Amino acid sequence: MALSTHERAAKVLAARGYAPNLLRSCDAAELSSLAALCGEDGTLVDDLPAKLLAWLEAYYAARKAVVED
Amino acid sequence: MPQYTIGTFSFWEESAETAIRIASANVPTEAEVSSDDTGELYDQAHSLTRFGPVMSISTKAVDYVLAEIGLGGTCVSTSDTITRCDLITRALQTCKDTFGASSHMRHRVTRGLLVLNSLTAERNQDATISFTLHCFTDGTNAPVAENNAVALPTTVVGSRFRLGQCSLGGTELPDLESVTIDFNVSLTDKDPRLGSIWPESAGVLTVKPEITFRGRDLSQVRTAVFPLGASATTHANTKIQLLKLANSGSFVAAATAEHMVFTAAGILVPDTLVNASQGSRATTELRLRTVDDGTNAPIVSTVAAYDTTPAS
Repeated sequence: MALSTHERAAKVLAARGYAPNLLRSCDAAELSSLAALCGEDGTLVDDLPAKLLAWLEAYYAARKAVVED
Repeated sequence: MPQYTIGTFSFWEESAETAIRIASANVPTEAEVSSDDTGELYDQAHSLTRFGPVMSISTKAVDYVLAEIGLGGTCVSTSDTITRCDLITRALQTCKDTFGASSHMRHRVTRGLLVLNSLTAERNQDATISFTLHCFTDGTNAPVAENNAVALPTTVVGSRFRLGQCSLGGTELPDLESVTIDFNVSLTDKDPRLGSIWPESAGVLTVKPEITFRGRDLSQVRTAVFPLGASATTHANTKIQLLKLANSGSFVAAATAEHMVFTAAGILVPDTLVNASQGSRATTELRLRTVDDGTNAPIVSTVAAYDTTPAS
């Protein structure tokens, strides 16, 4: 059975040891881009550590911008 | 004089609170006091030079903690997912003291670093997980703000787990006594902010989790199974399972995705071949030093269905 967007995003975070609470503050676009790192069959993309790091940098930059506003 | 007992620990995300039941809390201040060291028999002057409280918490709510704290730690601040944490110590009603609904003690932290310490699952006990909150100043305020007149959280959540079937390197371990995960998180120095006694930050330097399997079956530690040397494990063949306990029942149904499952890759080395004494069952210990396999973190934890045949 194909995994949902939320399930794929959670699988990506879990694979690299991040807590799933990050998902609660993601918007739809962030969730979708995170889920894109995992196929619907649960296969993780190649070079996951670097790709997730890039996603996290964008995620935290967005949060910081909101706080500073 | 009011008296208190264990209460709750809350993770706040903006105005949303997740308050969990806890088993113990210890909050040393890690205070350092400088003396004049004049060569006299007695010190003649003292000064407080450091005051950096840390909260060490243990709880049975393994799933709630792992939903909030990652392997590499989780920051607490207004710009992070967790915006503050509260340790609430419940006021006791005693024969000489009555209390109102808002008599409880709260220690609030608005900037800090949460890190995992260890997870212990004994065969005949509920599993417990421990974590630490390192408390920092925001540049102005003390690391911890106290209030002795707060109400208990409206909703407090909890959960309990028991050790389930595990597999290690593709071999099932039906006679385990315990599994212990030491997360081994090391931090940078938490020096006080210049001109202050309060630490202002810290970062995670390394995370080197180790898993210790203590078992009854000494015969598994032999060449044909776990050799007297090193063997490799992968996420595909190593699984530690904690079964969730059901309220007013025994276990949550195996097919329900509420159990805790950990997978790990690394090098497995026997740590203690035999530990035997008169009047007790002999045990053996295997230690798995985990590694990043290039895709997965050293330990991956998920909430999932329970696998009744984890080695297959």
